[in-house]
Amino acid sequence: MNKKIMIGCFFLWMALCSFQPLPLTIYFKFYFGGTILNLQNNYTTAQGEQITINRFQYYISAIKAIDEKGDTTALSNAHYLIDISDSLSHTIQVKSTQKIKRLVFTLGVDSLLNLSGIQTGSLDPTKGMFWTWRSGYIMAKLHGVSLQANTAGKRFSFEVGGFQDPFNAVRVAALEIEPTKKTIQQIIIHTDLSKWFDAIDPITIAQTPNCHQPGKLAMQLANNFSQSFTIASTQ
Amino acid sequence: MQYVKTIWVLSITVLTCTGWIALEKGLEPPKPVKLIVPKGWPSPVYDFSKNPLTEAGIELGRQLFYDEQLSKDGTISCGSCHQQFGAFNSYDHPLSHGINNQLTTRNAPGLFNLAWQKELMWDGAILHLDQQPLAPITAENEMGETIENVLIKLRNNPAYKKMFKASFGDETINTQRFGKALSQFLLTMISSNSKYDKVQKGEDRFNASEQVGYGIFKTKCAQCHAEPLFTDYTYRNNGVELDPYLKDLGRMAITGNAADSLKFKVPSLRNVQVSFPYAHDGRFFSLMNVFEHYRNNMQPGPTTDPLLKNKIPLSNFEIGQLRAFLYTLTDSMFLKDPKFAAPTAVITNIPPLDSH
Repeated sequence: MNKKIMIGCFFLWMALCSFQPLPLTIYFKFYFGGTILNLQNNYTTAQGEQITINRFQYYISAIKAIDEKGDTTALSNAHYLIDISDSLSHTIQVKSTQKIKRLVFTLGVDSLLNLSGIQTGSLDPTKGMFWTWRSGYIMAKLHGVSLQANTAGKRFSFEVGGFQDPFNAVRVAALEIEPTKKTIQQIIIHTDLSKWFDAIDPITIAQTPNCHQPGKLAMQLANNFSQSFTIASTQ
Repeated sequence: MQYVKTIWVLSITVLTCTGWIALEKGLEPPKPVKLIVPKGWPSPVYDFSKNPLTEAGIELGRQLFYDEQLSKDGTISCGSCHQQFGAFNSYDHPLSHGINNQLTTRNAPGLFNLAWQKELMWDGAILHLDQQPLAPITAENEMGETIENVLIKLRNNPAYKKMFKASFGDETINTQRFGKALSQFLLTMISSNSKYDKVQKGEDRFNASEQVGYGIFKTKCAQCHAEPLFTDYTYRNNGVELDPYLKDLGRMAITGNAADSLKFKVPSLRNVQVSFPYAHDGRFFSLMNVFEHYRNNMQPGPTTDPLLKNKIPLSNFEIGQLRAFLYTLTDSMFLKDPKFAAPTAVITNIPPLDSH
């Protein structure tokens, strides 16, 4: 009898040890206005400019949940490089928590990591998101072609970065979530790239086809980009 | 007989442990190297806890520093523009050279005492020594290569795999380890054995001219070229005119602030005798040009340093004495130290010393 209890306890202990709460999966989906974004397609910006997008990457970090009481739970401390051309990067798994009222995440890289040597993983400079001519990560990158760009190859190139005031490009996105009793295990976030051109400041490619350094244009693009995210559904 | 099981368990445990210990022995940890801070110097700003110096790491860094594979066409290494006999500046070159007969827009500064330098480049663009090599490697008018390609070349080289393993414990070659290894070598490049240093330690004496020059230096130069590093690492406009071809605005390009227009980092005067030409674009051929600049030619503008608003009055006599003092900052041990030379090169005893 004693043995049976011992064995039972052992299995229970094993089960407890291996128990892990189900993670929260966040899916990023890409849109231009109301339509699903396709890298080959032509789109018209709010300023009436014709564009095709061929590269879109951005960092998100410090993913947090805020509950009804206003308490914050850190869901992940990692940095994720979301790359439209790499579908694996569109899905990220973080810790789940109950009663999420608001999902908050940082767009860009923790300021300390810009000046503490060379990082690895998603922050490795070989990912093309670290400026080598001056210390600092690019927060978001949007490259494409536009008939209105007065540049070689009709290219436009927005590389939004900078981490020092007054030109700190890091932004925070806070997305409201409809209250639900069960633990949310899945969130689908829509990223609307049309926001780059009109969310707060109107951006015309004819006037500013390139952004490659911290400054006023980078601040405007960062503000616009930070408005790109909406929660499409939760489960 | 009842102990048979126990004996079995014990012997298996002992065997496993012995095997484990033997494995550990095969992977010898790299020998640590302690950086000696010269007496009277401030603490280094580099965080050695994140990148402890080891013999293997320093040697790997030296190998990388002199490896021309780091450039796109295999013609330029770090050491091509940072030459030991010029205190690791681009000796006698106003602007440093890049691949395909290109010139850069700046003078390659001397490399020494980097553990005390918080920001790098003439305009402070780079904020950590480990990140610094990425700039010249990827600049199109310098080494013109991508980091990814450099890593591929290194990974294809069995000798490098061994060296990375010896330095970091396994054969992984990534950007972080690459930067750390180069830093390890660069951090050991300390120049603190000039006649000036020996005088400070009481091992030598200035002659009369040097002594007078030291006095002039302390009243007219030391506010910016502060001892013992002979720079305060600030950015200042010393009255240089904008070059119409280079259009280099210095620090302003980094801060975006008009108040920083034409400000450049105060360079160290250590080894100044061998690190000509001078200034961010090598516009001063000789020390005499520099003295003439400060006493006559400088163009005070809105951002010119307040310390220089009346230029620096210097008589011919003072210039002679100052020069005598500045020559005591030459560290000939540093300039010839085989530890810093290319791994296979023979150190020549006759550096092409050519003082103007």
